[in-house]
Amino acid sequence: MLFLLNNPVVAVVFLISVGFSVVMIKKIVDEIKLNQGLKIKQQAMRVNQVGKGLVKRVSALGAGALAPVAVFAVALVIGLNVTPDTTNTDIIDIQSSADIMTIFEEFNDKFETNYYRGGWFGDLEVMNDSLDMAPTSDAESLNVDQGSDDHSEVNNQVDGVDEMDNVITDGLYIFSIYGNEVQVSKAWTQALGSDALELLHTFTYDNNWGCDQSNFYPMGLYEDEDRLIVVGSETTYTCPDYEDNEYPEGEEPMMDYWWGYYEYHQKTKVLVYSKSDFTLEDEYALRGNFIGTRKIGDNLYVVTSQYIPFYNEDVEVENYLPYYEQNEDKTTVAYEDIVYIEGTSPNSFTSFYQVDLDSGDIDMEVVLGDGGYNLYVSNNNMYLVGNIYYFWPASDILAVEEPVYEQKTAIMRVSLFNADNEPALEFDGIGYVDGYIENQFSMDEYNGNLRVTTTVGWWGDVVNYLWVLDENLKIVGQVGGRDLPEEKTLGLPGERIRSTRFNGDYAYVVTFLQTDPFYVINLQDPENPFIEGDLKITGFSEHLQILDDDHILGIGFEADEITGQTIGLKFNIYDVSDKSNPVEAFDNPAVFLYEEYGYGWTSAIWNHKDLLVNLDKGILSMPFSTYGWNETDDYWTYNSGILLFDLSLEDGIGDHEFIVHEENARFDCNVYKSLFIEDQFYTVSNKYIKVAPIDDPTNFTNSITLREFQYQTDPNGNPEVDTDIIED
Amino acid sequence: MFKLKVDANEHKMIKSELNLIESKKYDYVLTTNKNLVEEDKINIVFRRNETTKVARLLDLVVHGEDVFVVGTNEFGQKSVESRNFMYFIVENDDVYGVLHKTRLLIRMKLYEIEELLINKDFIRVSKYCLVNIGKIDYIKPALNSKLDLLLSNQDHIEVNRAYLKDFKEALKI
Repeated sequence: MLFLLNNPVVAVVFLISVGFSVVMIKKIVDEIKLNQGLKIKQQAMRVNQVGKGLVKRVSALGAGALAPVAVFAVALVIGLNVTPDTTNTDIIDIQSSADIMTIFEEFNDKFETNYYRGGWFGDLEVMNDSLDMAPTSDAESLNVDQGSDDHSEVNNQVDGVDEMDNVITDGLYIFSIYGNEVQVSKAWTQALGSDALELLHTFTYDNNWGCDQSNFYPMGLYEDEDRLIVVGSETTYTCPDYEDNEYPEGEEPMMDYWWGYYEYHQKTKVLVYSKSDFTLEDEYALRGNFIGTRKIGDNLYVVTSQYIPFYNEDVEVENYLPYYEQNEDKTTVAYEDIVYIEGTSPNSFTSFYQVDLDSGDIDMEVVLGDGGYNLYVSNNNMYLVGNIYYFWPASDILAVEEPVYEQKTAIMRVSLFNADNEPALEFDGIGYVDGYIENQFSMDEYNGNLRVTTTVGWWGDVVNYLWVLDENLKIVGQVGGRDLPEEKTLGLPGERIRSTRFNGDYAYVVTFLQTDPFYVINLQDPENPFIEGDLKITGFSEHLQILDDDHILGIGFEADEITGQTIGLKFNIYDVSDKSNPVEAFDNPAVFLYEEYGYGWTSAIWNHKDLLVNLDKGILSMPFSTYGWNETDDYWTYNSGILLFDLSLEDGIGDHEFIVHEENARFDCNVYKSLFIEDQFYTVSNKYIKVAPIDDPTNFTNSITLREFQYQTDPNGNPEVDTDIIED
Repeated sequence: MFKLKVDANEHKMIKSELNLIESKKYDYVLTTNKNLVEEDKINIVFRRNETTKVARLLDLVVHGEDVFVVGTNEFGQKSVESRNFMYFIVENDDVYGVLHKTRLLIRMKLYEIEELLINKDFIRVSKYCLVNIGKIDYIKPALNSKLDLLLSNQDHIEVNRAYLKDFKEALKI
């Protein structure tokens, strides 16, 4: 009804259709009555005349009467419940900027409300010149030493597909990011062990805020045998009115980044340093906002999104074309290399880059469409999740108030290999599913199939799905859905998917509203997946970590059984050795109730790379923070440290230690990463790297200072945070 | 007009063999059991194996006396039994009796024909037309509240609004 009220033209057509049908039906009834009367009369007259074509005639009339309503209903069904044909994806090749302008116009005509305009900052303009990174360094030439192969690795989702992290180690060095700095510390050597710990090198990047200034923030690090790779985001600000001298001489306009008075331009930068002397070997600038990255062998993959104000009739497409700069050599994408996926909002150029770190060659695929929000990369393909809109076919003809469309989740696939099986990016299709994809762990490629979990709806009417898509990204199997018996639904009524982990032929899914149904889903037959077992316990896991085929570690929250409110942190192990009957492996999961420990949180819940799990070492660790009240000095303290547990499959999650860098610290010492090399346990904060034996982790044997902070006091002499950084 | 009083198991079959339509008000009782006769009615008692003869008898009863209408066409004067006419129609002040393949010019007024055929199930559908109900193949209501009659010779005749009520009453609708 609301739809008809919002669409008066459609409402009129609907009423006319219904009116016509009513008149026609009345006519049919009259006709039947008349001819039945005639038949009886003629039988009484003992003649046989009637009945010729009565059924045929009534059938035709009935069809005619219902045709308008049927046509109307079909149009609505087609318009509002479009089922995308994934075998026939409309991929539009682009030849020129005119093609792109046509796409803009057609999309705007359909999607009259420009509901998404690309964030808070308004229009963007092209950045013409690359600004120097100007990293400063106080490093001297570095000693080459021998580290260890027995060290912690980044907690990658997929074996063989590296994910960047803010602190990494290669067994010799620890590379760490904080703010606009990347630091290289020697951590462990064969000769000195952890006594070798020392800060070697600090890269400090531009951090200039103001008109025509730029800043660079490193977001993650990779390392391999020869290289340290820094991936970061460079933002340059331009102030169009500044040059017009509209401001009094000597006064610069105030920057207001939150309210968008100024224009900004973003590049994703890749800086490649040699590990032999930490000199900058290669610099790549990839236009656009950073979406995601992975590294497989010598190939680095980066996805960026360049926003285009497509609703602006004066937009000049060439100003927004993706390009990359390789050591100052600039290459702009050719129009012929851009594809548009019909139905996607043409608000961005989404660029997939493959950087061969050995040769420096860059391959690029550009898709005009909606910027993606979740990136999953297997050893063969990249999958980027975005939105796609299916418009009612007549929505651009009828002047209705709101465009009629259905939003679906599109999963774009870019192959990492060409037909000759050589590393090269090739756009390889798109699949569609209903619902929102929670994170990268919601996707998994296995034996050519892509498995995906989604949630449709946000409040109340929530439906969860697990989809299996074949190699053509066409749905072939499904678990969950509407109007199913409870044993076949994924989640109890109102529950959302909170975490997913795939492991070969099985998927483990946690949903939550008040309790934690943990589902074991059998995917051995991709076309007929089914829930093989489930377990209902209190609390819920936000992240599932595979320990082995029979044990899953859950990182999440404890919750009140009645209200569903979270009441603490909870770490537990699921025993899935009997897939039909998953159980909690141990009676006493690690639970940190707020009422006992104070409000606490761990970043491992939302960042799996902050989680360190190693069964060989028997450890489970993660950052953990709480607030506390310092009775002596009468102020709040921020207790940030690393929570380190004993971990084994025999005894589960055991005793824990809490490793802090400063006792009763103020809000300045954030311990955010833990690593190990050999039997030494390293903890990294914004101020220090400290090391201790794994079996005695609070008894530091060595420590280095990375930086110090200076504090101001308020008028009462109480400490206040000052974010000024004093260089070490 | 008729009431059939036979064994319940055979009622449907006999009724079909006699091509019979029963009615609440009836003058004739048809039965295979002489004990079921009704004294104030005309009773026809028959044996079960004589339904064909009884059917012919009923045809005579229903159809009554033959009424012949005289008219002329290009082959001269013809006398045609009334049930064979599709309809009678006035054209240019002449009355025509329309048969399946031909039509006869009738030297009578239309109302005279109507009176002549008053018991022969002809019905006036307009000021100018008298239709044989037995020759109507199909009745199609038109959107203008008229009826379109399709006759067995594929001619179409319109039932005027003024005659609609009488037409429906004739069909007992």
